[in-house]
Amino acid sequence: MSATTITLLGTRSSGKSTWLGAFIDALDRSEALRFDLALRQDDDARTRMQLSQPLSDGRFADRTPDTGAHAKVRLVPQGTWTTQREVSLETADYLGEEFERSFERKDGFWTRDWSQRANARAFALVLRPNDLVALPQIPPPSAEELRRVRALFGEKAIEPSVRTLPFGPEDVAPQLAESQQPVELAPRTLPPTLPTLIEMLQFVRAHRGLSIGERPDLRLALVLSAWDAVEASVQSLGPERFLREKLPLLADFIWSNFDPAQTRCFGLSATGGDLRDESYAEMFRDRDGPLGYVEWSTSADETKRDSDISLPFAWLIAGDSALEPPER
Amino acid sequence: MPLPLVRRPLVCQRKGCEFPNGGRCARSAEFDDPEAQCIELVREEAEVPEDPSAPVGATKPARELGPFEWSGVHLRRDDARRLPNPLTVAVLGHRDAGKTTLLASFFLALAARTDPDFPWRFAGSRTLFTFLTLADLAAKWRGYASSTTIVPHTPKGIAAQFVHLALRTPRATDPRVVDLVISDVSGEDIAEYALNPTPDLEPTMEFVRNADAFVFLVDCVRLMRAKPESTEVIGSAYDSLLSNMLQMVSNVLHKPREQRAVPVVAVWTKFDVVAQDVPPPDEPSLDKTRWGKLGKKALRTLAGLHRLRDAGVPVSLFPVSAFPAAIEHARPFNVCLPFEEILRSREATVAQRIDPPIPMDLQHPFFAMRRGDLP
Repeated sequence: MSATTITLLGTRSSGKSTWLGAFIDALDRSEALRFDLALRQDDDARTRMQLSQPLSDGRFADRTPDTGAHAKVRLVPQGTWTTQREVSLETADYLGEEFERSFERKDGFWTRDWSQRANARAFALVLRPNDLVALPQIPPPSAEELRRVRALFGEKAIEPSVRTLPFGPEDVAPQLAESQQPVELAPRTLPPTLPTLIEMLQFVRAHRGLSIGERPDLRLALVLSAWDAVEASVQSLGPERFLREKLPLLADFIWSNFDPAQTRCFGLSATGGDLRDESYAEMFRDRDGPLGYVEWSTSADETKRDSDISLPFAWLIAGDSALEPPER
Repeated sequence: MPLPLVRRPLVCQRKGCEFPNGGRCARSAEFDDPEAQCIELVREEAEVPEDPSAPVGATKPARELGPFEWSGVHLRRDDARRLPNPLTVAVLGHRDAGKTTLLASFFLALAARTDPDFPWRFAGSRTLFTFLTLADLAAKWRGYASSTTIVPHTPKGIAAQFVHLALRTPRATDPRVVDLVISDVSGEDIAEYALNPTPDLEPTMEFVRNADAFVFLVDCVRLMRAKPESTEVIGSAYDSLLSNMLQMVSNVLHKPREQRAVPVVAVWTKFDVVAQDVPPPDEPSLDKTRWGKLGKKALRTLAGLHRLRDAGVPVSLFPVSAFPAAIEHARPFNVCLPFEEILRSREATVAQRIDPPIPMDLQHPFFAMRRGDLP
């Protein structure tokens, strides 16, 4: 029986391996997960160990070497929550640089491995908000500038309150606040993250025969990793609003090209804190229960949190029912 | 709810079978449900098959499966024609008028959604690399005191090139997407063609004849400048040149049997430089008295715009400031408006897309047939 594939896409150091490692570690430690997912025991255990052992030791894994190895973890869902009998989680982590390369050398970039990943039944797009390489950004006008512009160009020029834009299946309208400021991002040393990811999604979509704007019947989770490290005021927006307000290019691309009912944004803290902090690492090693967590936004824009970091996987497999409160 | 199935284009190996295109299955007499029963019908849900051409024992067969007909850089005319729903925007202006800068600023505004009044949503681009390059270059510009240009001049004498932005209508349930194909052609070529349309420029300037809309740039600085720097065209000479460009547009739009309602959006570029001296009207206006000193300097240009409007062409005119300062201080103004105007006027004609899927295997005869490549 062939496994259903979920592909984890992301640029280098976006947190894919840490997430997978923390998930495997949680399974090894028999931490309570809301959905019964077992590792397939006849798989080569070395990949799993490579991913989870550093976290068991209370440290982040070294950057995955460019070895050509393929991080692939097969799961066997138990119980009746899904009809899927086997799920394969595959990352493109080992060649994260491929994303960057894709802009420079498209010829020969699209390998058979990429074709297989592109054929996945669902995708998790992983990005780390604090490490985004930004596009050059023009700050939006401040209130004072709006007044100046109005003085120059007339009252009709810009509305300071900023009108709402339709968003999502019910046209839930996000308010683009007047105080909206560009997110503080890392200095530019690599191609900007969002266009790179967008180009990758365009490749995947083209490979699947999808036209621009055609919304396929597949799920896409946008996973904002190291969510705990994001500034509290930004984190308080919740994952969905973060996407809409801080990453509008990606938000618009996803909205335009994927069924809004089948896309969801998660904030993920795989370890609950920074393992480079020795005191936290010690606490992480000695923990009795999960420290990581995942957050998502409800349709009412409320933020929910759960300590089960496998929930995005469960959502990719089973849809919104995976996020409903567990039955007591 | 089970995980949805991957939807892939159907391909049938049997000659004459129309089932993949929604037609009749060549073996319909044998099957009640061809999609489920016919083994000649392939919907490639399985893993991509092994590449038989790969050398035995190769550790990593680098098979180029790429269905990607774009490279990320400027599109050429033929590339642009392959887009499913192109709306070609001819951006016209003299050298240094700010054509490429407007494109860079428009992309950055779209990327950061700094203009909340622009309702269309970014849906993709086949020229992301070009936009990134332009944005990077613009970000290095240090303001008017700097001696460098904001973005490099588009070289003259090269084939017409275009940038691409796919935009989706803002309503969630509206599936329409438009492929904005925006010209990025050298101002020298445009000016030369306007003055003397020689045959050797025809291939480059063909986009003007096929344009679905025009953005016409009037450089405020050049218009208002009293003394030329080197041999640049300024003042009334510049006004005359623009008038000739408008005549070129008029000629294109009013050829017999080719009358089309193609909007012309004229913009004063670099308006920030003259804004203190020229209080703009509250709304788009072609009235020269409403534009103060600019109106007096652009008599022929405004007259040309009037003539177009009198001939039934939708014309509007407003100020734009694409890069008024170095990026950290820049507050571009109205950079989305030309495109919003065009999209507003063309929205009713943006077709709902029912696109054939982009082929995965470019060599397969089925896809060759769909592309019209078969002899």
